[in-house]
Amino acid sequence: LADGALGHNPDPAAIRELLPDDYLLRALTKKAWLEDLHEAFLLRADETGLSVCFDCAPEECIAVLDLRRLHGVASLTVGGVTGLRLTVTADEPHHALIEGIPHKEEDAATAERLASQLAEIATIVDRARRERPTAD
Amino acid sequence: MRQVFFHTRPAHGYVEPSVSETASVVAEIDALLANKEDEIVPTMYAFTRARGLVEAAYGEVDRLRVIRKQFGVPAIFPKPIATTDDRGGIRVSWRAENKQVRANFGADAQLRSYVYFESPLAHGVEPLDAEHLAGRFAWLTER
Repeated sequence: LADGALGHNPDPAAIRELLPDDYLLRALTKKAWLEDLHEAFLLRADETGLSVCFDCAPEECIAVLDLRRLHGVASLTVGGVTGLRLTVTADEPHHALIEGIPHKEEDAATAERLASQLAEIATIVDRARRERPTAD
Repeated sequence: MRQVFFHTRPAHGYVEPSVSETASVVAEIDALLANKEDEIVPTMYAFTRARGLVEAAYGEVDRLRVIRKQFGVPAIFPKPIATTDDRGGIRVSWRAENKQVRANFGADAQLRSYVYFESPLAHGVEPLDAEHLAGRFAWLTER
């Protein structure tokens, strides 16, 4: 998938096509990521891509991404991501995956370098700590 | 050619002197074990390696500082940031202007541990041991 292309939209009727100027929002789920933004762009072991949301405001990310807490939001453009030969695939109306990033266990140099490059093109647009109310 | 450890321009994010630097990095790593908010508690394997190896590398920095102080050069070192990965490994990073060094301590012996370095001119991965880490500290702070 690391071909710099936009991924196939599985349901064109429900999910719009992403364009190079579209903004993607990456939730900063650790406070330390505000100081060390590249850490927000490393894949977890159970991930195949980085979760991002689009067509939503920073304060809506916590719900779109179904997070318990976040410490801020970073913004980057689709074109900036595909310019790194990564793929952006929208899989829900407000959710997409950045794919093509290797796990650090597989290819540490590439994973770390891409994390740096994604951090370089990203801007922290929200530094508010937000929590979702618990069900009870 | 011997590389020296100093940075002549104090800036935000730098700490001094060396005793507080070592205490600072150890405190950062220890805080992870104390169930720091948002962080997975590191494995004892990662914690023990991170603490021991970073202290050893800082010790090497201090040793070279003794040499440096003979020439009256001020000593300043970048403040580290420590975090955990999703498996309980530890990551510690240092930044000085446009250079970065990241130490990745795998959660166990089967997971990768490495030093990553990056500048506008080069980037790469090296084995994670005190020698390589101290060498990258020298690279990070060289003029």
